[in-house]
Amino acid sequence: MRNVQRVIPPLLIPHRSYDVGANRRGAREHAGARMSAIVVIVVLVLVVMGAAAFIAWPIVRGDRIPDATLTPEQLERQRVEEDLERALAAIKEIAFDHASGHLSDADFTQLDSDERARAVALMRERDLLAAPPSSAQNGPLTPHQTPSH
Amino acid sequence: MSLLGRALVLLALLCAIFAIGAALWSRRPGQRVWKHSADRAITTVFVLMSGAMTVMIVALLRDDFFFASVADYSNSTLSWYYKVGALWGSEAGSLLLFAWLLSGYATLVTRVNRDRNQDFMPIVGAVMMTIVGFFAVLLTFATSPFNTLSVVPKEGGGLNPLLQNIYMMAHPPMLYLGYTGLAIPFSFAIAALWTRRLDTTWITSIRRWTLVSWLLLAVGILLGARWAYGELGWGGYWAWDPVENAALMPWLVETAFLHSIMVQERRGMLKVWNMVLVITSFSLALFGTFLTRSGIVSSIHAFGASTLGPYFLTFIMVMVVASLGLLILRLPDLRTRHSLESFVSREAIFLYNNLLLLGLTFAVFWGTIFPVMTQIYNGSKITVGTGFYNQVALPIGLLLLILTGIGPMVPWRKASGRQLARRFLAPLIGTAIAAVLILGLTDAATSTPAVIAFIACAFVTICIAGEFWRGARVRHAVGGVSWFRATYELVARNRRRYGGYIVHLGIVVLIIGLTGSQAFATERDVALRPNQSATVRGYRLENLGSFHSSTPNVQSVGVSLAEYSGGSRIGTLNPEIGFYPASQQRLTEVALDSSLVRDVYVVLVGVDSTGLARISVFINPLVIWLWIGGAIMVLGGLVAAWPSSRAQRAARDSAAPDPASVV
Repeated sequence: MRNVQRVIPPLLIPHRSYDVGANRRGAREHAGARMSAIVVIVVLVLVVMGAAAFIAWPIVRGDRIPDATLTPEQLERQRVEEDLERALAAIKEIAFDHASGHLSDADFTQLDSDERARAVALMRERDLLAAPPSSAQNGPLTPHQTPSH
Repeated sequence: MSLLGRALVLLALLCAIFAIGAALWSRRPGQRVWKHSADRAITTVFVLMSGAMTVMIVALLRDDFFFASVADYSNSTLSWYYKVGALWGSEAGSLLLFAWLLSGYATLVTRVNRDRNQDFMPIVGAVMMTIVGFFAVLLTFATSPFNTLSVVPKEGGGLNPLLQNIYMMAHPPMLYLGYTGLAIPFSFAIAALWTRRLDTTWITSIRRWTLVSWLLLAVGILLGARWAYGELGWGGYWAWDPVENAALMPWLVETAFLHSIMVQERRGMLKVWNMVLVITSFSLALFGTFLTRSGIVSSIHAFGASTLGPYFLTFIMVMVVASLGLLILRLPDLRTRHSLESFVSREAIFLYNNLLLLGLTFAVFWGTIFPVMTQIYNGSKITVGTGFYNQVALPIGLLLLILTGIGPMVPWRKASGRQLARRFLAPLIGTAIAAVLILGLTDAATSTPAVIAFIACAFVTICIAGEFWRGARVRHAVGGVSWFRATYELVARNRRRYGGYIVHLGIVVLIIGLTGSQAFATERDVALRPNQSATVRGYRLENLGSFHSSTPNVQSVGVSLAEYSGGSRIGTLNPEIGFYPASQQRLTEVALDSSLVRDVYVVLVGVDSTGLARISVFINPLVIWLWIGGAIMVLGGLVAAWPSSRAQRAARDSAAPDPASVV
């Protein structure tokens, strides 16, 4: 065990008295301390072994898990889907703003038709992309992808 | 036990290194199994850090003065909770707490995303473990809470009396939770840049984490202000102290980020800006921890001289350079398809809000590092006074407050003059009436900035109330439910939007408290012999005599003051001065009579053998509204961050327009 030599600033800890008796007793308790050090070492060995087994278990067992990366086509499809989601949310908010009196009928008609036209364009773009089925990204793994452990 | 603590931290460091390697390796084709191993290593780091924390807390509770940090920062006369608090009273203990919280967040994020964000998570894990690893390196090689003494003292030095306060038991952990929480958005941002997945996925994944971290940081800052108010005895709560500023800066940038992500989600804009905000907020959080531990600034909140400064500075530099480098490499991928269509639109208002918040952050940053800069260039430290900060913060704060009211009223994309007139007519009429009432019924006119602030608060309150009223009216009409039910459903179905409005309302209330206490405070020093009295702003205080009290931890002398208002007695105030033998420190205990209108705040300066008491009396109007405003902010933040139930999500989705109906 490392003993640390430190300078204690007198203003912070001015009246510290030291338990000399405790240090004398220290010699008598040396054997006890050695015993507790052994216990600590045993505990540490068990902790190291337990941690190593816990961490290495998936590799030792040889789990086979499919890779998870998106193709450029899937990414583009995702972008269009997100834009479409935004457009649909905007249509919903414009309708709410109109109902709550924030928008006049004329403003509502103009903003709503703009946003609907944008949504239609995005839907066409999405259909054109004809994307392959999406992988496990951002959603729960399908049963056959779920690791067995 | 010291050996056990050290070994657990060292093992945590080794596990963190393994987790980084395994997480990165798992990105190679066919090696995904290593991700599972990395996840387990992250959990193990948390378990090991928890073990180290337990060793330290047990040592503190058992008064094990063999540990240097226990001998220096605790003693046997302290209450058990102050003994636990001594953990973050010491520099090494606070680093251990920091590392433990970080590892806890890393484990939580890993578990929450076990089946989600599969391409992000290896990088997220690696980045978070790099940060945990840095703290573990400090705890292993630079400073350790498990250092021991060669000679065991009979009694410890005790906790700094300033820290023996219930608010101080919660303030540092809350700040640390806020700081460490910022590592999550940062890690996701790096993952998004690394994997080139720069759509809104990463933003969606971190929005709630960011909100929680923002909330905890806000609570931490408010608790710190409450502690300063009750403990430091100068009548105030915020002094633009460098360490206070260090907590405020990341919070301001986070606030900007929480607004600008809405622009990215809704319009697909500000992608680079959002990345810069995330990197900046986390870098400022690290800068805050550096500032507290470097010894470069003088602050009541800072740890003493330390050797940790160079470690932190190097780590901050590496993180900033690496993340900005990655951002520059990915700039072509961050190009947006949309642009600002009008300077009068919701997104433009968010942009102005962001620029003001960043401007304020820069001013605070400059004021904080100015003494260091002058020390480097002139050899003499020139400190920036509160005047500088107030001069900058006042106009920026007022503009931000007004934007808080304007923002929700302006539509996305563009707003016509007719639209604006329609939306703002009623709030402006309401504000004009409120202005007449403020000027006619109060004495606020004696301070121009205060009048402007109060009128701006009225404007924002009317705008927010209008938003609730309009929304509830629609639900009341469409759903045929009661007004109370309509308001409840309105908030429940759009927690984020209406939670945000509640936060804005909290800020309004907080600013009312801030304005009242800053612009109309009264301070007077008086000396009272027994049975003598003095009147300060309508409050008469009469000296009833002095008293003494003693516990093993503190010996106190105080004076009892009868408090009268309008001729009738309303209470007794007992300001004290405490002497802490363990640390040989003297500390004043403030006496406070708090009400919704004002605080009567009394500090005992001294009392002599004849019973003559010298006291400082402060009459601080509206202070309590600071804390009430803070509580409303927290409530709003919780509403916004609270996850929707499955049933509510289904109901909301069904309310969204059917794509087929759009055509």
